[in-house]
Amino acid sequence: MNLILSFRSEILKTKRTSIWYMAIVTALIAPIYSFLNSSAPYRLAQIKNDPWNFHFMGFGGLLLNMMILPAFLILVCTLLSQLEYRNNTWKQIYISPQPLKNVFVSKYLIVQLLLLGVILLSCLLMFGSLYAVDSFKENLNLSRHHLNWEMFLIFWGRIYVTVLAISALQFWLGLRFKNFIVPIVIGICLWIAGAMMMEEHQWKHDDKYPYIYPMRNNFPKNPSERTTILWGSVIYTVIFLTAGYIDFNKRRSTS
Amino acid sequence: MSLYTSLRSELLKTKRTAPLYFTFAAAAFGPFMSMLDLVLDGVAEEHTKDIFNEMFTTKFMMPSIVVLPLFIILLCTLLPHMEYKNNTWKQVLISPQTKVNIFLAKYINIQLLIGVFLITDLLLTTISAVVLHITEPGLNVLNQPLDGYAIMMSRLSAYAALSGICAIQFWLGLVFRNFIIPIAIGIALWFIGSILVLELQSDFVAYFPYSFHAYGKLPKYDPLFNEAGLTSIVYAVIFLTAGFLGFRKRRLNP
Repeated sequence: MNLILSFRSEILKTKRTSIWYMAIVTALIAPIYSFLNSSAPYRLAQIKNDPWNFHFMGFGGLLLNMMILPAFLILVCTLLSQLEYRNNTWKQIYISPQPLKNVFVSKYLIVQLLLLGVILLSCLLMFGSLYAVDSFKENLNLSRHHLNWEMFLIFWGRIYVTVLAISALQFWLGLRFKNFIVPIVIGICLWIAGAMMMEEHQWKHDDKYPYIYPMRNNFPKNPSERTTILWGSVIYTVIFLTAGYIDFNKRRSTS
Repeated sequence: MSLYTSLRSELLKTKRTAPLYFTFAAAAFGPFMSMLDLVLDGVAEEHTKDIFNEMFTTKFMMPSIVVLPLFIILLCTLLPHMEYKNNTWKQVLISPQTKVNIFLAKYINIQLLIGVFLITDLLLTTISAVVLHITEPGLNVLNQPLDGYAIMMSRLSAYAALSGICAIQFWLGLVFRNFIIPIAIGIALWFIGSILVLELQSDFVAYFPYSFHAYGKLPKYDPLFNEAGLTSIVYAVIFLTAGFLGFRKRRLNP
């Protein structure tokens, strides 16, 4: 079987499961928060000057990047491999006529598909939430203002890249542990520890800790740090995926 | 079987399982981070006089806002899920014990684990105070006066404020076979509740049980913390009753 077939079989497995519903609900949070935030009286004064850019590159995106996506990835990476554990289908997969790397890559591609899906859906719904503010709260004269598309693509692209490392590590942890609570607890602890290290302790090595990247992306110490963390995230993704694949391969030979 | 016997059987089930180890790990998180902070960064000048009390009260804010709610959300999912995972719900339901006893024993078991969390947190904070006393002898940490009442009240307030969440999550954990649903609902509501207090400072938070834990963080809400604790307990009673009414029907279609 080639990779496309493996990927299709993974999509088939997740069809009508709670994963997709969870992705849709997750995508709703940032637009709803943006609507509440942008329609608050003290924000309306700020947003009126530049509604498109303020709304799309404001607190909704920040929240999505720093809190929603890491939490979503922790849960979805756990749930994805639990589908196999719960149905006792790992052996079935191992003996199926497909290379192990295809199984591994296709499962990770599902995580990426979900991640991109959440980001794109959030983005689309943000348009809706801005029109809702314009219709129900205050006339923002949206046609007179414009969205800076270059900044918009950079902002949302960075959101995706900064959570890549978390997705790779959580994916590995999800595959590694049979008990669902272990990857969830490890993920939440690393995430909270990251937030504390950055906020409370001003840790100087935070550019080496992947769970801080989404926060540092929005609150960098200096502009050049953004480039460092984007590269850091990509490098960590490659490292975690390689280590995860080696571990996954080893486990098959011992199971 | 009496409630005591049901409770003993629940305790037996959780013995040497993930929930117990998870409780110790979660309880250790706050004191460990606090100790790292104090040992690596040192104690700021303005905190040196009352650091012993602050370790038990001010430093407990982070566990009470972040760690304890998340711990409760995960624990309330993990315990009922043990029955789903082992396919033992039918076994539990046909055993010679009343539904009230099963329901209450499971809920009390969760409360006991929360108690273990709070006690472990206290013990480990004491150990971190000893470590600080040794590493920073100039502070004379262990000889500073300790306000036992304030320490007890910080724990009780946190427990009361979270009792509503605990009851709701317990109910969700019993209802859903899929573990991700109660966890996702819990984490999402916890996010929303925290943001409503810390960022939006909405008036709606007075009715939202997932917001009460964050009251202590802001001076605006701090005076309402005790009131929020009482509201949370009322929510707990309502949701436990609703949860039990749902659980009572379970025998027909487990």
